Amino acid sequence: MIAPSGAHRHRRRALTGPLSAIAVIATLAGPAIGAARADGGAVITRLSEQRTLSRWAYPSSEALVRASPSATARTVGRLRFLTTDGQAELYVTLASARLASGRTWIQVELPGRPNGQRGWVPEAALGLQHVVRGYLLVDRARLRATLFRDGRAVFSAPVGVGKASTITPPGHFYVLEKLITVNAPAYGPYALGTSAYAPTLSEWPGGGIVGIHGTDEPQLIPGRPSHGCIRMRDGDITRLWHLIALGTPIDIT
Amino acid sequence: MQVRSDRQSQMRTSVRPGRRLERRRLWTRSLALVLLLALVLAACLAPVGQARSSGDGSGREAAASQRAAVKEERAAARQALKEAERNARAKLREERANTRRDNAKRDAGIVRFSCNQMTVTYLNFPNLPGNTVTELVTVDKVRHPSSKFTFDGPTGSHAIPILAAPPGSYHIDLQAKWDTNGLKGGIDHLGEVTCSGVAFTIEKLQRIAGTGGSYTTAPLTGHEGQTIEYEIVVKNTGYLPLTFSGFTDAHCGTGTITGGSGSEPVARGDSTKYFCRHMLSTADQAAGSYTNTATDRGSPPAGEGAPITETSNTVTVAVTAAPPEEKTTPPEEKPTPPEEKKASSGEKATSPSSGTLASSSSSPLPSPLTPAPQSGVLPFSARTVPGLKGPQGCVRGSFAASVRSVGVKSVTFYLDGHKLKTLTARNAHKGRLTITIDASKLKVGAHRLLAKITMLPTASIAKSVQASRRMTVVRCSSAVLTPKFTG
Repeated sequence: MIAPSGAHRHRRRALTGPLSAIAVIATLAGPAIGAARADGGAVITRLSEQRTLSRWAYPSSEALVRASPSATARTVGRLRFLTTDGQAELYVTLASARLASGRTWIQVELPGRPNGQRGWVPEAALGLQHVVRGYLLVDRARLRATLFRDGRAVFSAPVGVGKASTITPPGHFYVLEKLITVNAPAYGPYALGTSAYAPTLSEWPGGGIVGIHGTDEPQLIPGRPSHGCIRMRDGDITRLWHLIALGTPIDIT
Repeated sequence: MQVRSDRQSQMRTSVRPGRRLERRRLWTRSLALVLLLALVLAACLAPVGQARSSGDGSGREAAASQRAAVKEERAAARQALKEAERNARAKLREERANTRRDNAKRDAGIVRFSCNQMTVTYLNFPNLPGNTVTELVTVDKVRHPSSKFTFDGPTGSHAIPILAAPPGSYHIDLQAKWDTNGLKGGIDHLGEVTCSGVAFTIEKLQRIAGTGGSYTTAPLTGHEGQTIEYEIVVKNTGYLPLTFSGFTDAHCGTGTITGGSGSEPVARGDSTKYFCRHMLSTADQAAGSYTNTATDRGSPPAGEGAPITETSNTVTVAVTAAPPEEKTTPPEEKPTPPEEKKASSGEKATSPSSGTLASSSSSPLPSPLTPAPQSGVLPFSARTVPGLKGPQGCVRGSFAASVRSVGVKSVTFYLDGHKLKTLTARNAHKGRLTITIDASKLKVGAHRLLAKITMLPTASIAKSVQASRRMTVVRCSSAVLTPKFTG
């Protein structure tokens, strides 16, 4: 699990580190997935564009996640094998950095609080890369979720999002797990676990994970009735659950 | 009426003397007459009754005979119906058999002819062991001895050599018949081949250096820094010996081309091999793929024809930034269990040619920048020890983990430090040594699977090389649950 306190403590030091430039270059690379050579001979390749094409991988070890592609960089977290629901954890891979030494590091998105953390792991810490196309856009203003694939909307449905006191967090996230719900009519027939965490409900069982799920109160959709989760009518979540793939980026605006 | 008148006359005369006697006489006569009449009547009625009784009997007989006739008719109809059904069934059977035969003829095999051999691929056979086919080859009406080919499963491929034919055109007929595992059928393929005195084939194969994979014509995936090794097989398929010269391969690395027969002619049916390699560069990665084609020139003996040039197939490597499938052990991993450490100590082996080889536990793969060998085959090293393949992501039921069996003497699998099973080369199936593990009995969480691999000794290394490969298997809980979302 991620160690947010450690992340804050070491952020300043890491940003002044010599290798942080590499991470910055990778993060700010253009939308096209390509390679660029950074100072010091490291080759940065963007792996996920998070709109049309993204990559993700299962961890092959519980490796430490570093702030930059170096074994001596500060630790921002640790890869883990299982989600809080006992499913296989997966990590969206954002970029790779091939150092002059020949070692390759992969930048991953870290699910956890605070949202939006990223870090670097040795390429050996991850398994095979999986490719996923498209992304899910959740528009909190229009109360609508739309799944895009190859630039086309393939699914769109009204949603219920968090109320003012327990907002649905904005940002870039991804589908972490696909669940079939049981004994929980409030979650509908299907649920998608995301990498997003509710900013205000840290004491919630499971840590306050934001899910996308069905509901037993369809009359509240579209609306703002939830504790942070994204609610859909049961028919809509059923369709989405079957359309969306693990690792699909979720853009909450 | 007459009797009545007689009686009336008698009554009229009864008042005369001696009347009692007269009356008695009359009475007697009357009685006799009545008796007579009764007798006559009985005699008359007897034939009628007889006739009547005899009439009833013949009706019953008629009815019985009628019933019998109906029965017979019904039996005959039933018989006819049965016959018709039997005929229909037989016809259906025949039609099905014909269809099967037709299908068998249509789908049973693919035949490819060449001057030196024909390749027959049998399809859609029962998925059973021991499918046997009898083959008969006729070349220009000259029969080759028939042979039997046995294969397991639904598909089998058989290369039948044909006597080397001098230049010219030939009619080749392949007849194959089978009555095996419940399938009966046959094929008869006619083909014509033209055998040239000067002919050769050139086939290009590739593999990623250091992965232990075999050469293939299939597309591969590599990343920058990895070296692709090429093998180019040039085979003389003509009638005349050929001398090969002018081998070109624009995309082979400079100075990396080795092999070939030089100035020595290659006899018909023989082949020679070239080798070269190329290291994938940033430019290749930017281009996305790297393709390669080779060309060679074959010359027959002087005065026996003109030289010909052939071009190989094109092989492709997709160049991605994806990491390789097999991984080095990350530094953050947990300490090695005692038995693994013990195995690691035996992993180092000394090669007369390359010195001490790296322990596979610390570095099963070479650095991508390590240059590939110039040519030939290196002895087994940690580099050639195959990797452990298994499931990624969640496992809940049974899963399989396997090691490629080429060059492997034995593999012992351990799960969380507990020995599971040792497999030897004899247990190989489809080129892999596979273990199946029931994950449902495992606790939810990560489990470490270790394969201790012992390689077969080679000509250059008398001692078996040992190495270990490990992976983590994640046993997940059921995906049917009550989520812990904020709701």
